[in-house]
Amino acid sequence: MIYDQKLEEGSKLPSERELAELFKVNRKTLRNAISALCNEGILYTVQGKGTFIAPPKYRIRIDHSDCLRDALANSKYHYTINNIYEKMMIPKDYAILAFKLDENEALLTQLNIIYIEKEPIAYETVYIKEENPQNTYKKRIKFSLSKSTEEESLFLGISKKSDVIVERTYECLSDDHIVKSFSTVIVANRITFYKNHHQLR
Amino acid sequence: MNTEPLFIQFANTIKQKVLNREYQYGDKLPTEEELSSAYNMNRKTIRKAKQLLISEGVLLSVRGKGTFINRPPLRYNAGNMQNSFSARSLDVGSKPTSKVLFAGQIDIGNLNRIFNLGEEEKLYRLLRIRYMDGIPLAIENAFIPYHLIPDIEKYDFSIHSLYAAIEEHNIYYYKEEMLINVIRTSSYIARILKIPIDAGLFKIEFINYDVNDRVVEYTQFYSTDDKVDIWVK
Repeated sequence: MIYDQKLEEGSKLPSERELAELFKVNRKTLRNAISALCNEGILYTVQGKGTFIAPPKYRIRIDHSDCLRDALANSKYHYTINNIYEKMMIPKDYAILAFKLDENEALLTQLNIIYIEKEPIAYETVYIKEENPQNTYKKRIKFSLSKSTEEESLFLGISKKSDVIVERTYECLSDDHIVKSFSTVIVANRITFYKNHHQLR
Repeated sequence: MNTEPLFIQFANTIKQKVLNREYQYGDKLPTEEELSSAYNMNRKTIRKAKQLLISEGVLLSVRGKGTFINRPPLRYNAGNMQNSFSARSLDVGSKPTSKVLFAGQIDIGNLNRIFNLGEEEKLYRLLRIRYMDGIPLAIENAFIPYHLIPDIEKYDFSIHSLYAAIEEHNIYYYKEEMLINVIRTSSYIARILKIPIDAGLFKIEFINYDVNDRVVEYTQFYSTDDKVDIWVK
């Protein structure tokens, strides 16, 4: 029904009884189906109010760029990056390793919030060892799943310990020489990543 | 002269031992005390190195039991369309196995929006648990048009590769779409993959087309991020 666009984003689903009659299934089957769709982020339930169609996820292409902000630049979406602060800080351990820092060496650290269509989507920590170097390339190191921390949840407007995708990208002059790192915490249930690939045989 | 902080040097030493299989998956790491005297380093440095390696997934800390060498995650390199779990597993030096939960013909139903064959068509559905070294890594739910491989029911997909079966019939993938979503797990999936009920899950969908732009395979993979490593090159 949703794919046929008979139901719109934000609209409330009919009651369980009505749906069960409409699809001619028993209530248990219906409840399992709704539960599965909630897990997938297609529906969401508000205690005491009902079940609603979730807004569509943003589709972000991941094979033509190596970090979220570049992927957004190439997309059809309107996005903004809001800088929260920029200051010298001792970075997390992965950065100490990547930048080959001394113990207690501080790096210029930026905290940015990325919005898509005015909706907060990502909490981005940028460590900067060198500003504006020439001829750099970006390399995405990993995607992992995690739960949002209190601070991330606050800035992103989501509940504590929500599912987030953590993307880590390095901007480098060479494989050994990293100049910037981007650690992007993305609200997991608002994004679909995709990739298209052609191969001639 | 090596100017990296000591704890990083030590972490790299451990990584080297894992890479050349001096430390194997499942081995228990010596205690901090043992490491401290063996490498002549203070325990604070050892602990910091351990924390770093745990955060990188090289080590796994099990409460009450110790710290162990973690496995290399399965790498999903959809970049070269090596869309065969078996091929990827052998890549990592481990033994892939499968358990078939369902293998048979089904009505196309809602999946016609993907296959575009007509509402009367049938699909072959293969639902498997994919294991590596006996550990459940992913749930795979694969669909192919039934008419594509009429003798498909002769294969034993608990040992045979689906991708290989398709290739044997001279069907080749020309184009592939991959979608990655994060979903919440159900108790059914949590039980099979042996993950906590509040875990997040990657749902990876592959849609494979032949040279005539017809869908030849649609597969859903469900897995957690500590079991698969998503590469996009």
